Amino acid sequence: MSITRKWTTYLLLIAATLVLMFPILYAFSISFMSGAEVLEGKIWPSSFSFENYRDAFEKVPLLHYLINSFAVSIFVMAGQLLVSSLAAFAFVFIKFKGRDAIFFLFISTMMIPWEATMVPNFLTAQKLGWINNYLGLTIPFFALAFGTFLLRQQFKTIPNELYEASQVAGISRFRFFWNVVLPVSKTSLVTLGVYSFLTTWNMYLWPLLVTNTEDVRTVQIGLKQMQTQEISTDWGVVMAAVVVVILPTLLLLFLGQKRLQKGLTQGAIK
Amino acid sequence: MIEKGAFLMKKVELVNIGKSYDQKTNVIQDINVTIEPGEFFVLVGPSGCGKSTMLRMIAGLEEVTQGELLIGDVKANKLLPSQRDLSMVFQNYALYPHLTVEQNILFGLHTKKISKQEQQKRCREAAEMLGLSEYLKRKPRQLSGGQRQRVALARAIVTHSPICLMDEPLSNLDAKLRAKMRSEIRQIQRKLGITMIYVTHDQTEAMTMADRMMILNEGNIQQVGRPLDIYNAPKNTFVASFIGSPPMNLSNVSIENNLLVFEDRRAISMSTPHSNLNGKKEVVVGVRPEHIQLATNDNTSFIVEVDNVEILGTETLLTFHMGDKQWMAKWNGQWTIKVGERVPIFIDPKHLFLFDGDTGSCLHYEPSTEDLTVKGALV
Amino acid sequence: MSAVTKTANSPVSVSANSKEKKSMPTIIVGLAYLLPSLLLFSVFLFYPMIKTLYLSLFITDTQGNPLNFVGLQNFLYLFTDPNFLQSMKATFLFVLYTVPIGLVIALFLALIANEKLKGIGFFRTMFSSTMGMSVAASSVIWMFMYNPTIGVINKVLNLVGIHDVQWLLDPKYALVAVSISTIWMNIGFTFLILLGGLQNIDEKLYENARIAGVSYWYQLLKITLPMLSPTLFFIITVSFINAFQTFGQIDILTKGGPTDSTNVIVYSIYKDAFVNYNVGSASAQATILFFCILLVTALQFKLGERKVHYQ
Repeated sequence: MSITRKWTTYLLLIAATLVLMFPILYAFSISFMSGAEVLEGKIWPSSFSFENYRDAFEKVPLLHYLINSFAVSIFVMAGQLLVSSLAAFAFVFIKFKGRDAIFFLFISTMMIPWEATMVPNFLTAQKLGWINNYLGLTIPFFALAFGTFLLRQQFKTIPNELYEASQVAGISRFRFFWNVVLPVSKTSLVTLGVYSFLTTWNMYLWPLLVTNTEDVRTVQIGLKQMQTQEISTDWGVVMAAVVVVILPTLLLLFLGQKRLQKGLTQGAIK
Repeated sequence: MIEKGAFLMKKVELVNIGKSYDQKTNVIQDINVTIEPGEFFVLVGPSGCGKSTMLRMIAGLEEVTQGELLIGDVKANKLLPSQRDLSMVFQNYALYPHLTVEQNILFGLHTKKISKQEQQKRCREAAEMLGLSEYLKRKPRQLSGGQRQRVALARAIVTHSPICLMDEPLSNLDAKLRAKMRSEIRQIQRKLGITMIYVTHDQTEAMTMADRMMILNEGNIQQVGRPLDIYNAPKNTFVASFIGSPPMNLSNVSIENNLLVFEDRRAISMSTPHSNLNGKKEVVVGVRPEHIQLATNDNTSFIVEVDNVEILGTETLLTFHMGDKQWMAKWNGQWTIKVGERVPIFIDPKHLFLFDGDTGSCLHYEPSTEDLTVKGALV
Repeated sequence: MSAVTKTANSPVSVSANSKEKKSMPTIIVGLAYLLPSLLLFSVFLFYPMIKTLYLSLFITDTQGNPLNFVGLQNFLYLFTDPNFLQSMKATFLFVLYTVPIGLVIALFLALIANEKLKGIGFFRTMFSSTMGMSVAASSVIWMFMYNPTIGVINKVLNLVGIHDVQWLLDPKYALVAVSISTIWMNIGFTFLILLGGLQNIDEKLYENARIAGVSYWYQLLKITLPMLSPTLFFIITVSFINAFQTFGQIDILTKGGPTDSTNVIVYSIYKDAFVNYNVGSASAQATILFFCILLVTALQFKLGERKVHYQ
């Protein structure tokens, strides 16, 4: 392409990056500033100090929140992978009457906005004693229609002959599922796993509803809590907490961006 | 009606053309050729030989890393594709799915600064020439592969560009359709007088369509010339085995006392002692399948055991062992021969080609003296 | 199945029935694999949805137990309730502000990030980065930026002579402020999807255009946008639905105010159910939300299908 076109594009790319990344970079910058510097309205710290980070962990049970978020995200990720893969397996390899009807049922769940169910779900969680409990934060989300579709798409690429061969060899269905289908679909499972982890880590409304003590509070709600405490005006500390919260997901995204984009596109267009 | 010569004719020259992607290794090198105005020129070679890349360099879709490209005597290396006054037909047709056939044909024509009426006129003429008049309002997905191909062709024609580039346009069609389109494309080209540069991996297409062709392998020119000239006088073993179906039979032999001795110790005599073999003792001998005949009683070169027989209706192909290779003979007619039969064959030494055992280049051959013409029939 | 005896002379071979396991009917096996999903869907999706529809027809106590059946009264009340109407207005405005603008920006980014340039991978990662930001974290950052006195946005505006704007406290600007931060949050996802769509377009269509000599804008209008239409259709549908379900940033930035100017529907449901303990009304609103989304999706499918150009 022509030189002018090349340089115009680069210019636009750089400008767009700066504008888009500004909030994130700004948060990083503030997290290293002292309180006084923040009030002065500076953009860049004169000296880098980790004091805010120390304060964040001391004044707020940030580590505790992190552990909660991490535990919850891992559980949900594992749960979604297991439940979705079992369902996807059934849709691809087990032929039975009514399979299509049930598949249609799965599709219909995508139509139900989660917010329209939150009130009765809260009441259910209450009745089961799942409030302020890991169970309430994880189990309701194990079933994921989107995840089932993604894996179904992947499982369909496994040749049926493989399955028939395993049947002839006398291997049980479950064995085939566990020892053949899952390993072969590693990439899709990783994509789904990353997606699950990310979305659970970022969840807001439900954890807000089912936790009202510090016990299992996740880090997102922790951020909100900081608004009600005295450090809410200590912006340096607040930004430090924000950075800690976004670091895992940003890293995951940077590592898996290409994979994620492909996976999302496939799910979207199909 | 589009008249012949309505298109201005231009020639294309490649001078020391080379292409490299990483400044270290060349994918194409030392290409020198002049494509004459109005010529049907074919670039042929196996996959990966660089023919498509070369076509794309002429088009301006790839940069020329070495050498000069001249289009109509104008240096074109830095020109944009649209400034080179050419048209292109792609392998997968590159039709716009959301436009009708008519819109596809006229796509981009507005840049040529011709009136709407002129555009419509050209579209009509092209559609008529290619039998698309009924389909103008349809969308590509409603057409068959062959029809889509014609739309791509029509789109190229309406530009009235003097040079048309075709990148394996027929490879997605079935054999029958391919044969039909080959002939149609050639006729259109002759009628309009366009300089056509055609890329294919199919040597049959090359042989039947080209005025001249260039055979490429691994980025290097193997041979340039008219199809029959190449067929009768291949410059090396690659060309010899690439052109012709079934391919020329080749085997390693050693020269002993004016005899060509195969690995299984069978031998055939050379017609005359040759001086330009450079004292080489190890050479490759080649002979075309149609030159391996059934021996008459006193003229047997070898007796061979038939490994396989293929009867095609017009001819019969026999496969047998010769030295270290399997050779094929092509006989006219429908022969009843069983596998395992021992058949006497005769090879006229004047049909033998000798190639250098190391480089593969041709050391000796006898020019074909066949000259078949039809004298005017008496009415 | 029993093995058939060959002749009367050879020993009778007994069928292997005794050794064969009686395999369970596939429907049982199938359902076993689907059981976890079906169970969870039933408990946490189907049952609550039905319960919501059910509760919307009742007046309830503070525990959410239905007291009196009132039929459609909850709905009728809502349609005349200025608070609810304000909430609907806020929601629709919000959707209007965020979906089109977000799409155009993400499309612009996707177009420039689709060029074959050195280092383009870096820019693609940068543009998708907002996908790695949670709503809570993003909202806290934007809250700081919107701060009237020390926030960077007002600082920049001051440079061009504009007075401090009370972004989150002024009813005129609050919804716009929330919209801007929402657009920012969604760019990453929209960008990735659009980029994927662009990359699926046959390169040769553009090469042909280059040979013909059409301009960049012509290619954009006549090739890129039509070929991108399935992706655009998908993204618009998803964005619409997402916009209707906004909650997190409202909770952190404005809590529905000031003067309910940002009281979008999900926040309104939340407030009614968990702050005012008015479960009946909340359920009625949730039902309306459900039907709104259903309508939007159905509309877009009907309209979109016709215009989308499939290959």
